[in-house]
Amino acid sequence: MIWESFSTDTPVLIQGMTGKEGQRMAKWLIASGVNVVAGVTPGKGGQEVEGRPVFNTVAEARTAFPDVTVTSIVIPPARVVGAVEEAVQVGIRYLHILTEQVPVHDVMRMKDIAHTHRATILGPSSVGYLQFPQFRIGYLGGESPFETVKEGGTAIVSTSGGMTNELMMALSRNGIGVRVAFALGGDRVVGTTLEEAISWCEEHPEVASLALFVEPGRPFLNALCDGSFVFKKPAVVFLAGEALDDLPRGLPYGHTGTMLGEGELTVRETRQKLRERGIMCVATMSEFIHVCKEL
Amino acid sequence: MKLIEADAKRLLRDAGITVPAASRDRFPLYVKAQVLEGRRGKRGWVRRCSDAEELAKNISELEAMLRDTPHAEFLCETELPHEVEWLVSLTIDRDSGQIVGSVSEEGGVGVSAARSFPVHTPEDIGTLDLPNGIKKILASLFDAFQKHDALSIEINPLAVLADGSCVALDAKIELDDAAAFRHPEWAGFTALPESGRVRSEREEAYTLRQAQAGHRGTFGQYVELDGDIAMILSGGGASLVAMDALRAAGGRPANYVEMSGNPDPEAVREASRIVLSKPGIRAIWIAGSFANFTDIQATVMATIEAVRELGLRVPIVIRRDGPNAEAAKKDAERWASEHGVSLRFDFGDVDLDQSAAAAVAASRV
Repeated sequence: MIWESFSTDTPVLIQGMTGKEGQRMAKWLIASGVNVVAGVTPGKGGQEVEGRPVFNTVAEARTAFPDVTVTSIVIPPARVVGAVEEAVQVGIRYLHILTEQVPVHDVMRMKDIAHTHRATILGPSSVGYLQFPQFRIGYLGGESPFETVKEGGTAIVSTSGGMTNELMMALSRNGIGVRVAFALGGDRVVGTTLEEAISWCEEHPEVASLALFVEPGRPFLNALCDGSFVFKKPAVVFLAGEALDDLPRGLPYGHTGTMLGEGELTVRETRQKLRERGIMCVATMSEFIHVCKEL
Repeated sequence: MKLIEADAKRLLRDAGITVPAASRDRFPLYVKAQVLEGRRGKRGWVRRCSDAEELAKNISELEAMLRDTPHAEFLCETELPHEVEWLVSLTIDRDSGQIVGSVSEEGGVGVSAARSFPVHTPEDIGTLDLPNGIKKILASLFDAFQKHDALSIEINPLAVLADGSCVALDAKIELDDAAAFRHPEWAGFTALPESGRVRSEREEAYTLRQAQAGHRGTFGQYVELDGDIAMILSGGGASLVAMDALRAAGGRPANYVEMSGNPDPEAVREASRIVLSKPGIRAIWIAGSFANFTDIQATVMATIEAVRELGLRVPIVIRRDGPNAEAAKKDAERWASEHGVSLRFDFGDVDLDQSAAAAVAASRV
């Protein structure tokens, strides 16, 4: 995974800024100190949102703001793959995709395109990314997260956007600070996987420990169970969903990627396996906070 | 969506793969139940018939057996003499996020016993060390896989006839619902519930509502359970934490349902109305993670509007935080005091475990 530590100077683009979610995202990001420089909506070039110019194409936006390499994509699912292609072709390197329900074949295609251009995709169905020094993209943390989120050394990584925020807020309330938070998106196939984001965190010395929320059925859990993925930094895995042990299998619950197949370990069995491997694995929020205080 | 065998074979035939001729009068033939469950052979849901009398008898027996299982019209196919059976499949590997092919020279065995390889381009298939007939099938499958936005296609068994030609004797296909917008032809496929049981009226209504929802927000699975606390959950991951918490607190959920990603309030109202119309509800628990961009006021009040329309008079326990949460609390509490309904609204400082305990306590009052 190619990723950077960004800052309040990092220029950010919003593709789909004239839409309902795009407008609100622009407003909230600007209010939380993010340097949103422009938006892109085909056919709406010349308009303004929150005082920022809107262009018809990413190429035009790049001409006006040659330093911009980060974009947030907030457009209907059918057009996302085209928007990704357009962005990476003119030099955008970091792409966040909020849009949900993007067809999985489109996701595989955009991963190929991004790979060719050495670009990184966060999402689709990603609520965003947040870090210190103060920076974020997407909606992660809500309207004004930097008023509440405490700075520190923990990295939060999850496929669930809501739980990324829940953990971030709970840790902050309990006096534990956050360095980075990645909401990767809960689809079957995503641009950045749990393994990739965790590896990035482990390579960066400013991250002291890892807090993960993982849902049943993720291939990453198998990698942890069979020992093919080993944490290099102190880590806690919050594995919820033992209720699924008693529900029909082969159906997605919550996210399309959350599914226990026939013959897969139950959630309780998986927790047991992880603990046998010496991995800190918790089942509730209070256990999670308790363990994080010890890390 | 998962396709029944008859639809899957229709799709394969269009992709240039031979399937057995459907017939009810060329014996011996096989009568095959059209269900989404696997292991039909072991369950006695596929039967060989040597004449019309046996066929009629088997059909009436199968109809009795399948009374509580969603199924479509039986598929009858003439028996096809063959010696060799293969397994050929393509699926999306969630680990690598790529298309992976699997083959086995012993059809009938599970995919896990097969040999697997990534398939990135049609050229990848050409380089495989496999008989030409199998490679030809894989190439047709790969084309169909992409064209039809498939999540998985499995032919098992694939019969290899004496002359070397291949026929798909059984087929399982799953398509990506997210791609339905570019496949109007999918409307022609039989849609059976994937849970393996007949949907209740409410589950049926919710499924219809789900199909009409736009791309904004998520309307996840709705499953009726046998408890008495109705759950309206938000957040894919949080819905699991919440359900665990409710059960740990001794509560019995009446349902699983999840709506998130700033869904349209009108759709939330309609979906809530369906979920809350289940008889025997003793409390309502509206719970979710600390929202990033879901409008808490609009979505919570949409559910409360459904409560009002249904005239429900049961305690409501809410645990929501995020955009407009304070306004949501004010509105919800005002509504509750005007209508004499017991309502407790907590923010993010009360965790899901604590709120679950409050919901369980409320259901026992």
